[in-house]
Order: sequence, then structure tokens, then C-alpha cells
Amino acid sequence: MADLYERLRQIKQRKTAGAGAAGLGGGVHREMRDIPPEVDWRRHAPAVYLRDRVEPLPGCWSVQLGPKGGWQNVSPVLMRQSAGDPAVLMDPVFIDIETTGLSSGAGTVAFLIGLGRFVIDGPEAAPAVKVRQYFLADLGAEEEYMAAVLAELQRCPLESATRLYVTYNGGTFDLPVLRTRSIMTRKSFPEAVHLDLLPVTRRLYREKIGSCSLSDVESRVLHLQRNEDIPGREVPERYLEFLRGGSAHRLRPVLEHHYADIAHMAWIALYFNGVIRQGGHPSPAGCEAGFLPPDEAGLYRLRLERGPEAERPQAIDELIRQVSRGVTAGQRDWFRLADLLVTVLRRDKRWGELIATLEGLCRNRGSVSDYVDLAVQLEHRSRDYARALSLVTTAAGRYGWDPALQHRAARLHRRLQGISGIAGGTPRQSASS
Amino acid sequence: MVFSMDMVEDLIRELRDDPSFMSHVSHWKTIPPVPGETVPFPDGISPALRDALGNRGIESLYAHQGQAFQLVRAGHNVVVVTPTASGKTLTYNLPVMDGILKDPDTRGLYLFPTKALSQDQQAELNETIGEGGLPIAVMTYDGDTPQAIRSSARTRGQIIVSNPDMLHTGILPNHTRWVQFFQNLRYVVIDELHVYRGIFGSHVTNVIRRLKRIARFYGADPQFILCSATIGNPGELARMVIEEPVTLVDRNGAPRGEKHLILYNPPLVDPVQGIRQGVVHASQSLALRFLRRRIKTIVFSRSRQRTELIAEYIRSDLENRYTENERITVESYRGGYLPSERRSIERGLRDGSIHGVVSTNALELGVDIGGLDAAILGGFPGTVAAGLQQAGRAGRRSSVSLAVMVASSSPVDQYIVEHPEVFLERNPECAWVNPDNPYVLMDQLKCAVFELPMRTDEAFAPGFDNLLAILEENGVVRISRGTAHWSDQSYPAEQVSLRSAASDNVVIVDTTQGANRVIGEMDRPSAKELLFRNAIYIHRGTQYVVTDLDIDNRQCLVQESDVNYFTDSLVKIDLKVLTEDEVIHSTGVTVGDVLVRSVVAKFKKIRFSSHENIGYGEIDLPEEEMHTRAAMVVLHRDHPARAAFDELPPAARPVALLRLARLVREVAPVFLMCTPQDLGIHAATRDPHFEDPAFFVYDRYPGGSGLSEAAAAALPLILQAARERVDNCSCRNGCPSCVGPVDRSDGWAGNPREVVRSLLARQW
Repeated sequence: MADLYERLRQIKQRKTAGAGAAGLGGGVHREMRDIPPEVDWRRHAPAVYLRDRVEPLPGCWSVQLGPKGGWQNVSPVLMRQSAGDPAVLMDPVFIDIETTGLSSGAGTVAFLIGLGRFVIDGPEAAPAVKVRQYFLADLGAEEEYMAAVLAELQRCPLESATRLYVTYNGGTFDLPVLRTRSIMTRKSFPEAVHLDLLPVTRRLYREKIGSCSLSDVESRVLHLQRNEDIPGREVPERYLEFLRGGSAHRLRPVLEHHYADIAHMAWIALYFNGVIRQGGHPSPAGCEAGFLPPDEAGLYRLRLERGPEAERPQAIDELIRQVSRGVTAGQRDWFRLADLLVTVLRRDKRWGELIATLEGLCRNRGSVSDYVDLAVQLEHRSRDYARALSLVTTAAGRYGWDPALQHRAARLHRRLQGISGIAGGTPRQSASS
Repeated sequence: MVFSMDMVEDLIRELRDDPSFMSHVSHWKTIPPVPGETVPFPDGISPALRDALGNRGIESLYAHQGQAFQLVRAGHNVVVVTPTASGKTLTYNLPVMDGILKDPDTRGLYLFPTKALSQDQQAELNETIGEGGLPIAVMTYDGDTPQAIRSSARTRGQIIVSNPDMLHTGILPNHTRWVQFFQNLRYVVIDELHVYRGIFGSHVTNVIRRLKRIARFYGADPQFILCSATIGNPGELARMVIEEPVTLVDRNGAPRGEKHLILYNPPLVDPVQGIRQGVVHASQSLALRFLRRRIKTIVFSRSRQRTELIAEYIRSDLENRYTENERITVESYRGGYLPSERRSIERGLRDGSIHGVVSTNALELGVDIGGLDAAILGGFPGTVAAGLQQAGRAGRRSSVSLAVMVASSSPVDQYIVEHPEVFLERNPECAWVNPDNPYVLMDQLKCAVFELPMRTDEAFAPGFDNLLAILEENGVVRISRGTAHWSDQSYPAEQVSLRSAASDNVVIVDTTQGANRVIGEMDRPSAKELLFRNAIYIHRGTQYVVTDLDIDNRQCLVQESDVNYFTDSLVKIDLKVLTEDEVIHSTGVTVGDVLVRSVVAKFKKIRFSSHENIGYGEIDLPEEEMHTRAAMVVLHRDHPARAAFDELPPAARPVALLRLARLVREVAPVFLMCTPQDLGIHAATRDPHFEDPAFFVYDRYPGGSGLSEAAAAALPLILQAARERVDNCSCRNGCPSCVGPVDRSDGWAGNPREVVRSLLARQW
């Protein structure tokens, strides 16, 4: 910035020298950069380009697809529906955008917007997702560009179906940016039901694969490949280079990346729906076989969090049955199922089953907190002070005394000694937590 | 112990009867109590609002509140001048709340310069609203607002309480999340307007330009209600900041208690050398006297360092474990403390657990610290406006209060002691902004384009199109179809601080005994002058020595220390004239661009208490370079002072010119709204550009904040004050109260007072 004055001087000089384009005096009109990103893109309006491509999907998923691109038999868990009504037909649009910056705010433009819809032609035809990508070749054309995108978004081929937007992290990124762009171009954004696959993915796979980026999921869960890819953080710079006069050639990986994001989102949505509907245990003959199955505890949690209230008891019963079978496969998985069950039973105040589950945890894992949790239940629910004390003593024997254990043991001692008189005066509140 | 208000009257009698005090009082002004002037509630005011105010015991309005209400209702922008305790908040709350009650879609935006003030304000509003059961949602939206409630604040908040920084970085760049708010934005309240001057004001003016742009985009055209402390030009400043016509309301209808304003000139210890008892000692002993009389007292000091010193001296005088320090609690308060520390001191002052506070101007602002009975101004605070604000910290609506200004030996203080009317009668200084400073405008332009593409023929600011051309060359802006679009990955508001160099702060880390604790921060240029290696830094009474200053990483390491001195740095300046833009005819002063190079090369060690110089140290820090604006005073061949200058012995010439420049800088704040620290000076016996003797008064903010232009215009007044100071001083050979004492390091042992006097002998 030290040379700001010098640069201002140069600009003023060029202006007085008559090179009008140097300064901007009098509302200079710049030519728009009207170049297609690749030769096969169609020019929709000046500096607005689009391309359609169709990505085939495994034929067995045709059971999920209805006429005119509808999506049927969608699990209420996926849709967060309060009343489970699998008969509802969805009209999904898969949405993904690429932007000029990673921050939010009015100055971040979605220069690439992709909309995907299911297509299935006739009962015999293979299902597919048709991806339409819109490209903004210069910022001055955003109005026409957004008009085209929003008109397509508005289009609802299935009149009786529920309009649905499917995104990957669209809740915090893609949809807010699109709303902002609509406002900036003075247009209204057509709202619809939204399925954000990212939080679902986190529940189902975080335990198994760690990072849940779209590309991690497609490679590690669905075993899909990408040809020519580019890290997302490099995308804005490639586009800005293009705007500043760079070659469209360098955009190619961005366009491919964007296309793959949408196509693969369709795979993920169909796969998740299939696997959730089968309770996480896909039939070996089904479409979902061969992919990485989801984390069981994660799926239970998803069902309990997002599923209809009416289906909650059934999910809990299944979980109880599974936990009560004891450690069959992985020990760690069983611990997580049991921990989830403890949380659920405590919330639902199902004390008997809670104590039984904690007993199981003490037997199989026996951590300090397992012993203490069970001791708390025995003390406050069953008033079995003797057992509670013996659990505390066992825990101390295995892991050593600490002040909390000592305090608890002392209180249980007092309770045992003066069972009748104690109820009101002990420091029960402060110590029990 | 009870700290009571009756004690003030006793103290005043006692002071009047004390000849040793009275002999140093150069002026004592008693301002009689003023009864309030009230008007009934205006017709048509919402009955619910009227009832709610009635519940709080408000049955009528002060005249200025009523007038402001009528003006706002008639569609005018209004600026209200509001002294302390004049019912300021109601002047804007009334029209805004009335507007919302009549149309619940109405939205209002309140801007306060600090978060602390916003919090006070929301508490006050909630009281009226809560007690009156009014259906008005007030939401604070600032950096401290939790993410979880931000979204509901945006949609539900009818009054959004925020600050310019949050508006700048959080709200405007994300305006699409505030659609409803902007569509219905009818009132913008700007409190503490007088703070928005200089560079901060220049930025804020641009933030208001951006706010109006966004409001226009949503079809809104809000009205502005502004409040200012007493300054010379509240109406003009309001117009400059909002760039629209504004109606001034300056008739104050609130009652005031009796008030005593005393100018106290501490005894001359050595009249020949012009050495007076120091401000620190005089303030400290007055404060002790007041505090021991159980009078709640605030002491204002001119620097962070002095704040710590005075507080420390007072505490050590009170220290006595048998009496529990006489049960008097005294705290220090200044910028650089952590917010939690500040809040707890403010609370202590309100609830009475703290009886005395020593503060920098940080407490000048309207932070609520309850009523105080006495204010001691440890030196003239730089501007009359600030002096009035500080004096106003003592005083309530109905009881007697007292403010004492303790004059230092500086020229400006001594000038005021001789001319009490400057402080007590004259209008205070004018404030100004320079929103078209190219650095400021460049930064603000980026933010504006980010928020909304800008047509190249839009009237954003004068000369903005040239800056837009630079942004286009840099590639951060793309011009397409006559409109500039943001075309960069960054979020520009994040990189632009509205307050000079605030984003450029050096963090101060205490590393005593292996600790690693952040104890404060300081802006980068100040850090170079105050936090150099081996500098003594005092923080809340603890003394630290700087072990390392890492300017690149904005970090300063300190350790507790226990030496008997503090440090003061010496800055070396070199100045080059770049342009001569304008000659102010009335003064013959040229205003233009200059390049200033400064380097901090040395420091002095000054012993505590005696303040004698006990040694020097070297400082090794990189040079700072700055392009800014300057007022240039050139002694051309036909200049009235040129002949006198030429007659001086050559060795005396640089001394005369530099001493005169220093004196100008010292007295300038009496006429300009700034502190001497805002101005830099330089003198050259033969300036290479003008090829004549010259001295320069330059703006210490890059690009200029409007100060040089103001200084050029006010130069005749400033020179007249300088001349009087030199003529009337009690000293013989120059002293700190005029041109400074004889200094061997000048390389000339003559009488500096005489040579400066000779330059000023003829009227310029």
C-alpha cells in the first residue's frame, strides 16, 4: 500500500493523456468475457453456459425410482419425517455449487451451479441421474445466469410429489449462498424440503472412516473413482484466473469435480436410503451389498434422532435385543451400542432395563464409570446400598481410590449404618453427580 | 465508611479557607444550579410508551427531548448535544420506541463506539421495556453475541444494538441474512458522535455510506438520530458523518446541580527554570485529600504510564494494614486491560466498593460508572471538549460537585491557566473527518464492492473511480458491463480495522518465572515507542521490563521487574515534501503530501518520584515510513520572520525553528480537536524542497485525517497563543511551559526563549 499515491498519480496521468480506459471516468463499459468453459457447452445467454450429462446408476435401484424422476420408498429416517409415510413420492433435485470464495457473504458468487435429477425411461430402462451444470463466464451476467438456474429449480415435473433438495453440506453452504445470490439479483429462491446428506453421513460413517468429505465417502464407502480431480480449496483461484484472462483449459478439473460431486451424491442418497430401510443389514443379493456397511450404533442413533416418534419404541427394543445378545462381533462396537442404550434408557427413565444394561457393561468392560453408574442406580433406584458399596469397593480395588469414590463409599457406609434416619440430611445432591 | 455527597460542600468550604491551596488557584468558577425545563409528552405518543415511562417516574420530557421527538417525527435527521446526566438515551429511545409500537415491522439500529456502552444501553432499554410490558425486542449484536442466538436476533430484533466495527465486518457483508431488517430500517441512532472524528470517524463515515447503499438496495431510507458531547461543531460533524442535512438540538432542558470548576497551577519549585511541582504529585495529593474526606473521586491522567504511577502512589500513601488502608479502594483503569478487568472496575465504581479511580481518557466515554463527586484532571486533556467531558464525570442532577484541573508545566496547560476563558467559556474545538483519505477509501471501497456490485458511475465518493481502477489492476475487482464486481477469494472487511492499527496490535505476554500469560496489547507504532527491549512497562501497578519485542510476530515478552526508574523513548524524524496541493491564503501555509521516515533510536531512564534523567539506552528497531499530509510553514525570503531568522547565529537557527515547531504542536490542541500525539513535527533550516527554512506539522495517520488542513487554517490563532506563551512565561531561559529549557544536546548553549521570541516578534 505504500505506493498507493504513486499508483494514483500514474492513473491520473494516463487519464489526462487521454487513455480513457485506464481510469474509469464516466462509467466505463467493459466487454464481458463471453467464453465457454469447454467446447461442448451450450450458450444460454451472453456469458451464461450450460451442459447436460447423464450418469447411469445401478439397475437394481430402479425400485427406488418412480416415473418422471420421482424418488419413492424414501425412509422417514432420512427425511426426518415426524409421521412415517413411505408412500410419499419425492421430486428430488441434487444441488451443488462452486464459488469464488470460501467465506460466506454477499461478495461470494456461485460461478458453477449444478442441478441433478433422476431419469428413468420406461420400466425396462436403467436408472440414471441427469446433471445440468450452469457456468457463469463473467460476473456481469449473473442476473441472466440466476434467472436460468432458478427457472430450472422452479420446474416441478411431478405435480403430486414433494419437492426436495438434496445436498452435501448444503444446510450451511450451498443453499444459503444460493439464497444470497437470488437476493443479490432480486429474484426469489424457491424453497423446498431439504435433505442434507452430510449429517447423515457423519452418523453412519464417522466411526468407520473418520473424515466424511464427499470424496472420502465415495471412495471408501461406495468404492467409486474420480478421473481428474482437484482439491476444493483450489477451485476459487482457478476460476478467478480464468476471469482475469486465463485459459479455460485450467477450469476442466473444476468442471469434472463439480459434475462428479452431483453424480455421486445421487449414489449416496440411493445407497443410504436402501441400507437404512434394511436396518443396516443389506441383503447379499441387493443393490447395497458390496459397499461398506454403516456403523450399527450410528444407525440406531440416526433412527432415534431423526425417525418418527412412533417408530422409536421399536428401535429401542431392537437395540435392547441386540445388546442383550452380548458381545458377539467386535467388542468395541458392542460397547458403543450399550453406551447408546444407556443414554436412551436413562432419558426414557426405564430404570430396570438400564440397570440390566449397566450390569452387562460392568461384566464386559468394567470401567470406573461403569461401576459408578451402576452404583448410582442401585443407590437411588433400588436402594441396594450394600451392592452399591461393593461395586464402589470393586472399582477402587481395580483402579485405586480417588476422592469421588471415597466420598461415595463414605456416604454409602452412612446409609447402611443408619438406613432409616438419613434421607434428608446427607449431602446427597452434591455428591451424587 | 460512608462516601456521601454532603461531604463535597464541606470540602469546598475547607478548600476556600485553605490559603496554601487558594494561592495556587488561578481561577475558580461556580456554576449555579440550573432548574430543568420540561415540556409535556407530545400529542399522539403511544399510550403504552407513556405508561411505561410513567412507571419509571417520567411524567414529562426535558425540552430538548421533546424538540428532538417532534423533529424526528417530522422526518428530520437530528443531532442532539447532550451533556452528562441530561437524559440522553430518552432523546432517541422515545421516537424509536414510539415508531415500533405504532408499526411493529419498524426496525432501528443503534451504534455505540464500544461493546461496553452497548451493554449499558441494552440494560437501560430492557428496564423501560420490561417494566412497561412493551412488545419491543431489543437484541445486542456484536462480537460477543453467541452464534446460537444470532439468527433470532437478525429476524426478531426490532432494535439492534451494535457498534460500527460489527456493522462493518459482520452485518453489512452479510446483508442478505438481514433482508427483513434492512427493508424496514427506519432509524439509525449514532451515540457518542464526537468519538467519530479523525481517522476512526473517516472510516465510520464510509461505513455509513455503505449502510445507506445497502438500505437503498432494499428500498429503505433511514432517518438518523445522533448524540454528541459538547464539541465546537456538533451539527457540522453530524453532517460530515452521515452526509445528509441534520437539524441541531442544543438547548439542554435537564437540571444540573451546582458545580465548581477550579484551575489549579501547582507551585513553582524553581521560577527561573520554570519547574513546577509535577502533575502526578499534585494530582495524587489532591486525590488523597478528597478520598480521605470520603469523596468519590476520579483522577484523569494523560498517559497510560502516569495512570499507573498515580494509582500506585495513592495506594502506597494509603497503605496501612492496621486501618485496612483506611478502607479506601483505588483502582487504575486504561485501555490495554482485558475486558473482564475493565468490567469489574466499572461495577466496583457503580456499587461503591471502589472509591477512587485513576484513568486515562478511556473513562471519558459514556461508560456507566455511576455518579462521582469530584474529578481531578491531571493536566489539560488535550482538547476543551475532552476537558468538559472529564469534568462532567463528576456531577449529578441535584447535588454539588467539583472538578479541578491541575495544570502541568506544558505550554498548553500554562496557556489555559492564563486564559481560563478558553476552558471555561469558549466553545470547545471542532471535530472533523477525512473520509476521502485514499488509504481509508481504498479499504472501504473493497468492502463496498464486496457487499454490492458498484456501478462505475455511482456516486460513492469523490475520486473513487481511480481507486477502482487500481483495484481492477490488482485483480480483486472485475469490471463488467459498467459495474465493478468483487473478484477475489478474501473477505475484505476482515482485513480492515476502523480504528487505527487496531488489527495490528502487539500482544504483551508476561513470562515471569516461566509463565506465558497475555496481560494486554498495544498498537504497533506505540509499541515501538513504549515496548522496546529494556523498556519499563507498568500494568495495573506491576512493573515489568521488556525482554523482547518481536514486531513481525506482533509479540512483546515482559518479566516482572523492580527498578527505580521508568523509560521514555526518543524518536528521530526525516521528512520529504512530495506535493504542494494548496496554499491557504489567509495564512500563507502550504498543505500537501509528505513522506515521513521515523526511527526510535534511544531511550531515557527517568527515576521515579524525582523524575531526573539517570541514563540512556539504545533501541534497535526498523525504520517506519509513512505517506501523509502536512501543513508546511516556509520562511520565504519575504516572510515576516525571515529577517529575524537570518540574524540568528547559525547554531541557534535549528534550535529556534524546532522549538517553535514544538510549541506550535503543544498549543495546537487548544484550537484543533486532537492531542499533541496526533501531530508530528519537523524543522529544517534549509528544506531541500523549498530551499528555505521551514517547519512542518504533519498528521501522524497515514494519508491524513484532516488535521493538516485544519492546522493550516488555524495557524494564526495557534501562533498567537504561542507568542503569548513565550512573552508571558515566568522563566528566564525557556522552560517546559514555553519553548523548553536549555538543552546541551542541542549543540547550542544560548537562550532558546529569546530566539523563538525573536522569530515571533513581528506579526506573521
